[in-house]
Amino acid sequence: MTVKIVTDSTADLPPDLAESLGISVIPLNVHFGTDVFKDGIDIKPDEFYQRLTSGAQLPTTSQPNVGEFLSLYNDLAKSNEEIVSVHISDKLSGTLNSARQAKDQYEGSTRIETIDSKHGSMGLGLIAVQASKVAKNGGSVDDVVNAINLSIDSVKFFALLDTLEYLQKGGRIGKARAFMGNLLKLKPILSTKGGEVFPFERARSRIKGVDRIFSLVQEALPISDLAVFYSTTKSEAEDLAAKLNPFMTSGEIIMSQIGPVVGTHAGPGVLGVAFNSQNVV
Amino acid sequence: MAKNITSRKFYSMLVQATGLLESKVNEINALNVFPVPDGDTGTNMFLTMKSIVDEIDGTVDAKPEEIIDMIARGSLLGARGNSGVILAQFFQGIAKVLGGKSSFDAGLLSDALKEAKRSSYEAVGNPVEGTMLTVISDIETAISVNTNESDLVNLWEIMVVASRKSVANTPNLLPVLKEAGVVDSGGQGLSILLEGAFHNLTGESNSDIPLVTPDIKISDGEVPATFDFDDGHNEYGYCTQFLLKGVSIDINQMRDRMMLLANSTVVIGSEEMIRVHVHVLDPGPVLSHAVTLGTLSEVNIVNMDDQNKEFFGSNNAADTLSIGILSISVGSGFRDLFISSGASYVLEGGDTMNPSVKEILDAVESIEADMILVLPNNSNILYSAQQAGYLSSKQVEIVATKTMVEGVSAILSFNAEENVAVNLDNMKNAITGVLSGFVCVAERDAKIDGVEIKKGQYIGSLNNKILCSGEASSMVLLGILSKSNMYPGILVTIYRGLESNEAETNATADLIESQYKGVETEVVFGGQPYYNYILSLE
Repeated sequence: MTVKIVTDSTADLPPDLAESLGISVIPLNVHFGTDVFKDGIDIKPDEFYQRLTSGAQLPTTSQPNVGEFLSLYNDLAKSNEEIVSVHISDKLSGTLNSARQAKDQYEGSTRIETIDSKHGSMGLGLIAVQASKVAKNGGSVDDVVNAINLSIDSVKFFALLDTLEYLQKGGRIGKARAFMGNLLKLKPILSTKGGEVFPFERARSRIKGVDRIFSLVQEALPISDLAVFYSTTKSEAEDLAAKLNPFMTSGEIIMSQIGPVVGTHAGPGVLGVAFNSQNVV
Repeated sequence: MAKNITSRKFYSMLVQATGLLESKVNEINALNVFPVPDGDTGTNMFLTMKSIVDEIDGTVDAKPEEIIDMIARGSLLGARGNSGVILAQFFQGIAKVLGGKSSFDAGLLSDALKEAKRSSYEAVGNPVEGTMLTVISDIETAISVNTNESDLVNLWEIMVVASRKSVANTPNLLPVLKEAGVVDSGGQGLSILLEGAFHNLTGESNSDIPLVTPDIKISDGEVPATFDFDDGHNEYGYCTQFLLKGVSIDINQMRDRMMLLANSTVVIGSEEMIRVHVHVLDPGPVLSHAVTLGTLSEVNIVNMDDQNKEFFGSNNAADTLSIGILSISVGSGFRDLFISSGASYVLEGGDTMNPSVKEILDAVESIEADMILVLPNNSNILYSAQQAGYLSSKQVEIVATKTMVEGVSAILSFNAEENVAVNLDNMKNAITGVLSGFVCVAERDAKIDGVEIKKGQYIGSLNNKILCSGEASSMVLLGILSKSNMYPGILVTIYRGLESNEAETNATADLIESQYKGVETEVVFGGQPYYNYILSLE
């Protein structure tokens, strides 16, 4: 019996990677007015950012419903797999709530564990990747859950945003206003702590912000597993990854484009890193 | 012939000395190292003296034995600028010996000067010779070698002569003075005060005394000029503060006792109420002694080791302290910038108007927070801010920002999610990454750092060094950059002053970006007077 990892589309896992690792990704929804799109399935990132920046209408997002989770759990249970369902912090989204309710309503005998990753985007993505590796090596549900709990503390997440406008509109960051309501053109660097997004630093310019993201990784060395993610600035992300590559002692840097749901709140021009480190940054 | 000087006579000597100083304020202000409108020593010393005069003026029936303590108290709260703070500490030292006495003789004067010298040197974190401190030291020496002289008129004349000689020699001790061809303004101010007091002692009215001429000795291999201010000492143990209330407490005895037991001792107040601030390894004996003298209130003990050890994410008690920020700045733009960046209070003050210790103290007390971080944003306000911190009932930390742009960098690195120790560390680091510069109009002809300057021309400075001069402010701004190490990634922020033109500034910024590849610019309204542009390179 193998353990199946389920996560959600806010993990921003590259589709190829999720497929190769056998991770099931349940999509959240993006709404433009009355049009509803399944994250990354009905609407791809590039198309989404195009629409986000050109349209007058700002999108909203919604969690997958309980029925979607239940039908996924039932499908997986048929193929005789146990399930660890790890999701975006419940302080940021109701996704985990849907998963928990689906678990409660599930009537079969297969073991299902739902876990709050306390992260989002590639922070969650890295945790799902690590969980899948433990599962692939024959780890039990308990082994996978333990690995996830260890990763929650060791995964570090930093994102440089171009603007806080989108986060503020989505109500995902309360303290941001006091942090950024400044007369200078500041670029916020955000991090996650205790399942919440918080303002970590303010960079005086884009270039300085990118340099700071680099130095945050450098200060955390040694690291294992590294993801570089972006919403619209692919070549900038590739340049950063090339600079960070020497820090990788094994494996490859995961390049990830932030999907429509996270992109709704983070906006265009996001550049960030997620990595494992035992060091306090 | 005078064997004794009464405290009342001493006060009237100070009043006349203050009068003489007032007539010399502009001349002393002109003794600037740089021909820019910076810290006006004459004004600061005069206002500090005036607060002594005012402290006593209102109390005509002051007891003779109270007067010298009142002088010390008046100077403490009225101190402005570094020179004012040193002057105030000078009077604290005088009062330590003469306080509670209704008159003094030659022996006591000598002892008082020793104590005044000691406490003046303690006032600054990093004493620099060739300043008012040297003059204080020299008059103390002059008196101490004349132990056989008991006539205070003669002794005072010895002090006046010694002070003039010492002032004339200051450029030989401090290279920046030598380069500018001036004597130290604070030392000059002190010498004027001694002369005014001497006139009163001998029953003369004030006459127009010329300032001391610098006696510059030229030698080979001169040391380059630098201004350096210490961030303050790194002491460990417990920072202990309390208010002691009682009946006829002997404040001098209390102060002596505290100095025996602790470091960084500040004991001020009256017979009924004394505020104590000490750094001590064990607060026990300090409090035990105090409680025998009266009742304690506002007791505040902070473990300074903890402050040094705290780190990110710790659940220390300090995490729950609310932190307020006081920023001292000039210009409506800077005010808005500091407020929007999280300052709780912006006190107007800077180059030509240094706030007094009392004004800083009042601002600190008005902020609703347990812990106050002060950004002085001017090297001449640093010590007044430190003094205000000592006197406050709140926990006060000074971030040693020497310019407003350093203040901006510091406050931008502040994060309310973090504790005090982490924030102080981040703020200090932020300051090191930024260079401060300015463009302003020269107030006189000069040759500084090898740059010829004509009065009325614009001069450009970066990092305390004059780099260029010229007829157009925008050209001088570009001149600063052309003499600086510019590389891709540098951000040049231009804070426009009251006299600057927005369109011209924006055009200059565009020119900078096209001239230096990868360099970014940002133009912000600073609203500061005198300085057409203040700029930061980071």
